Amino acid sequence: MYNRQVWEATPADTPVHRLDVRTKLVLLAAMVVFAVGLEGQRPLFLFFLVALGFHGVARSSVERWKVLIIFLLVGIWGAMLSQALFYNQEPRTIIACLVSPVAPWIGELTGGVFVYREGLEHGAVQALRSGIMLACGLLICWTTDPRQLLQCFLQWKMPYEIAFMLITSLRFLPVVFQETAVVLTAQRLRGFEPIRSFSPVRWIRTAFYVLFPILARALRRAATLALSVESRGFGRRGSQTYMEQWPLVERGACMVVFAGISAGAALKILYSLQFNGIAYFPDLRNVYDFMAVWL
Amino acid sequence: MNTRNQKIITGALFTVFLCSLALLAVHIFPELQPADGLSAPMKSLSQAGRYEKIAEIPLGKVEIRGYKQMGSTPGLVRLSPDGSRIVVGSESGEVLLINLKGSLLWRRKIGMGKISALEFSRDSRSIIVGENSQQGAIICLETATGTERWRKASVVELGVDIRQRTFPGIMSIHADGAGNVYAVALRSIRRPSGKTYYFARVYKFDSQGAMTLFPRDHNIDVWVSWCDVDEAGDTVAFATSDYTPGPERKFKDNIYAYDARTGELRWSRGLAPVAPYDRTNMRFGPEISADGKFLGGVSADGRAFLLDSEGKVLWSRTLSAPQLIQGVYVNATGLHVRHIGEYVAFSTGNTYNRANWQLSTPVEHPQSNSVFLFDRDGIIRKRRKLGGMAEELQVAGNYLAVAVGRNIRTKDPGVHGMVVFSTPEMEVLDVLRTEGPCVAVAVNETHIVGMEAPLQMDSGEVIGSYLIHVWKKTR
Repeated sequence: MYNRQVWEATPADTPVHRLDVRTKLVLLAAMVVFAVGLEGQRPLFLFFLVALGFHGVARSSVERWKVLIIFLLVGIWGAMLSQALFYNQEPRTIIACLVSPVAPWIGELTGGVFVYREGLEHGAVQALRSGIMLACGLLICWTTDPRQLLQCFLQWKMPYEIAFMLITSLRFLPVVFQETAVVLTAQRLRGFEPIRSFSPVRWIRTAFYVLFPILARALRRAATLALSVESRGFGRRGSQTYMEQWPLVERGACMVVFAGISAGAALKILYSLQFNGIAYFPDLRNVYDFMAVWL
Repeated sequence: MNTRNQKIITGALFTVFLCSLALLAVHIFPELQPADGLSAPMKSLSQAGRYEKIAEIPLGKVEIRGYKQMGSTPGLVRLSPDGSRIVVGSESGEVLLINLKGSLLWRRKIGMGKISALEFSRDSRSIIVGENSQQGAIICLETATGTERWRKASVVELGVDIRQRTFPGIMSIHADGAGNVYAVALRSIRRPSGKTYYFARVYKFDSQGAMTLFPRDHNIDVWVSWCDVDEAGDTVAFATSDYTPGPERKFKDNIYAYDARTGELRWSRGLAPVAPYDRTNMRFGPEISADGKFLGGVSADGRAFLLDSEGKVLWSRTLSAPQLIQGVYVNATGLHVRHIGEYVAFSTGNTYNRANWQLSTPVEHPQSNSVFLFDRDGIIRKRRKLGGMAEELQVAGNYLAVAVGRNIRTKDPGVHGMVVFSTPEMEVLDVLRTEGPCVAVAVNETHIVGMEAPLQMDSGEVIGSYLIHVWKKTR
């Protein structure tokens, strides 16, 4: 995980690597829009599997799968657990009682701590949403050269400063993890064992011991980078970067995806209008039914 | 960390992830659950051994209600007249067709609406589904395949207010012996002044879906949630309720009977209220005897009625009288009525506080949660206390099956289940206990089908599941 190469894009000959960067970004945007717009558990779960499937097609290494899985597991169980405990919508069904309402002090203070079934389900939906975005985002990071991304953003008329910051943050990600590894190693060499016990106090102390050096090093590196880019004339308008022609087939596929997004958005708006009691069109009953049953 | 440990950690990580995915998949796609869970015969909970359970069919997740919610978990179950199939309308808006062995034949979602009524056509070839939505549709499905044959939206007659979310809904569906089906549709809207306005209509459909309306040219301006028709398809009758009565109402009487063929009003009958009520309200009934000669009715104030085919009240009996105890009017509402040969069965529900049903009552009404059997002369043959709410009564031959649900006063889960009585003796033939409340029943001469719902106790514990029980008669 702390290996810098795990985080950086590496070239390979897979269908995902061969895709044009613009195609990848359009597909990423489509996945994100669908993940946010969809409410049904079934399509979300299928989209999540599709996102994982892309990693299979891209032949992501075991190390990368480990990173992805750790993030996904934390996201899935974290969201489910937190929603299960703090879900406040009705109806909600208690499936376990962690703290009885009649327990002295803590029970009276909290009114009881329960695990709610609907909270678990709501958490799972949220986790699937974030999981789709995370899996797709990491896929692009791992299969696309940041320079290509920068070129793409510039071609799409994104302000240079914003595009530069975006790419820099992407490039900083592996650096931060590498620095974390260095700090942890340094701490261990000094006899510190950060994960020896499960004591929360010790974990907080560990976080302070680790985070401050990382922050200090990141700031130092950022200052160096700022000086470096300033000295190279950052912000001056230069010639636009040349990009290869966007393959026609990929462009066509993106148009279809874009049309799908537009149609999905239109359906979503239509459904929201009737759901909120603003407008209902009887002739579109089948569309409403389709939305209710499948999406 | 050596390579071996790393491999173990990596393996564990992948295993945990795959298990998490599998858990999510099984939860999201219930059809992935082991097939033997669909129709696994459970141990018989029959008290007398006259019935054995032959199948249990889980219906998936449902909102779990407690004692504080009004009404039971919704669900409908019907047996086909040919006795071979069971149709279930679930709370999630799904229609399921199941055979008597518990195997699923097909299932389909009806769309945005909630299923509110369900019935087989008399030839068992069609299933009529009523829903509550912006359309308030009556949908005819082909029994063999589940495909839609026709649908009719009651919104055309009753209207809809999208902003106020007052949608039309189909309240009940009945079939006659001539191949027609009848449905009651209702929409109500409560104004800020406190006055409630109602829009109701009774529909008749022939086997091709051709429609007749009762009344022909205008809506009913009071609450109607039930209608019935005699076997020959001569008379269709409905009863009314009105919780904010006023002089502007056109339908002031309690029971209306129409000529089912011509749509002409034959008669209507008003029933005098009893103190402390200001109107007689009938939510269930009237129930017309198979020969069309008698109409049984039960009012919310706890009275039973028998009328002849001309609308003359033959007799009226008090099943449950309102009692003033510690300054609170306590009563048990009249619920259902069923003709059983020469007898009529009535039921009463849970004890309620007239000021507000959610408020507690000093005592349980002695006549609550009971079944009463009268002969046609008005002589009571037997009264049986059920212990819990009579959610539904169904008759097959000379026995009566009662689905027993929650008792919101005693909160005793031991009363839940199916109780089978013989008539006219009203002897308990068998008691088929279920863990959760039994909310619906369908019967024929050989089988009883019951729907169980989960129930959240006040302690937070959940008992029972949302499932269908199929019991077969053994002797």
